[in-house]
Amino acid sequence: MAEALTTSILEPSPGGPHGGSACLLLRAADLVIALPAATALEVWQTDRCHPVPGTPSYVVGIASWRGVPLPLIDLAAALGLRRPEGRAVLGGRRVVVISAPPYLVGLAVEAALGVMDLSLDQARTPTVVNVGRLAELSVLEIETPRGVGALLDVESFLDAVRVKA
Amino acid sequence: MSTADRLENKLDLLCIATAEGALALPASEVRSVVDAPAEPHGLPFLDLVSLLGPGDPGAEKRAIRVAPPGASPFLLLTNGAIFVRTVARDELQRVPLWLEPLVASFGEPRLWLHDAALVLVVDAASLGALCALERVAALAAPAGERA
Repeated sequence: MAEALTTSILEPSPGGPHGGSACLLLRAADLVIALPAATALEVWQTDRCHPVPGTPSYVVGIASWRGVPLPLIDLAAALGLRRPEGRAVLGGRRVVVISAPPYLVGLAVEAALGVMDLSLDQARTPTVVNVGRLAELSVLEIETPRGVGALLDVESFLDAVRVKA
Repeated sequence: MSTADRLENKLDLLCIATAEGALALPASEVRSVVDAPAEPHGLPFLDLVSLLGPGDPGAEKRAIRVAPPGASPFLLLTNGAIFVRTVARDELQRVPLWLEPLVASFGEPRLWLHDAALVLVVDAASLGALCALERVAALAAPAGERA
């Protein structure tokens, strides 16, 4: 099951070693989160973000990225890893610009840790990272040089958190 | 663009500051701004302070009387700053697709985004509908939970 899910999350990069795929490692709260690197357009930083009335508190707001209005999501808060008091703020954090058609969003994270090549046999059913909303999302657990992390299905995550409670 | 076209392209917005950013509606749909009555009566009302937090904590509430074309008039209660901005209609942008369901209670709002400000431009009729929903919710709430 883990292998089938990994295959759906990751599209193998032809040039990658071990037939694996490049993953971008991020830190959200204290957890390492891995995303398919192909979905990330840029790791960005801005201090200009405007809140949007009526949205959930994990929506930091909208920033202008290359002239395009970009919704910013606090990844840790959206995953239930941290409960912000009031609306989440950027506070100097990094923004990873994600393209997961038809969506273009920014994920506010504590840090962008680097890129690793992930092969199918490195992913397993979650035991350690089964916390917050990760338990209800399609995630797999992976060993990374920065510790145990969660491999996130970006499309499922973005669909799950665009539903108003 | 001719002068007539330029004028046609202009839109006056009545902007309302809230704790979560600014909302705006076409100024042509606003009839008046008055001090909020202690007990709004006669018209349905939507309390933006309850819905979105205080725009200016400590400031007195005011009532904006809104009359959308073809829909019932209602009051918006706010204690945030109220100001008018003139924008070009073609400066209004669609809300990013990912955000659309999260702001759907405001109908199909548009964004006016500048470096220093973002305004969520809503149509007054959708606020009126929200207003009706809030009233229904208030009436349906158990008596102990009502203000």
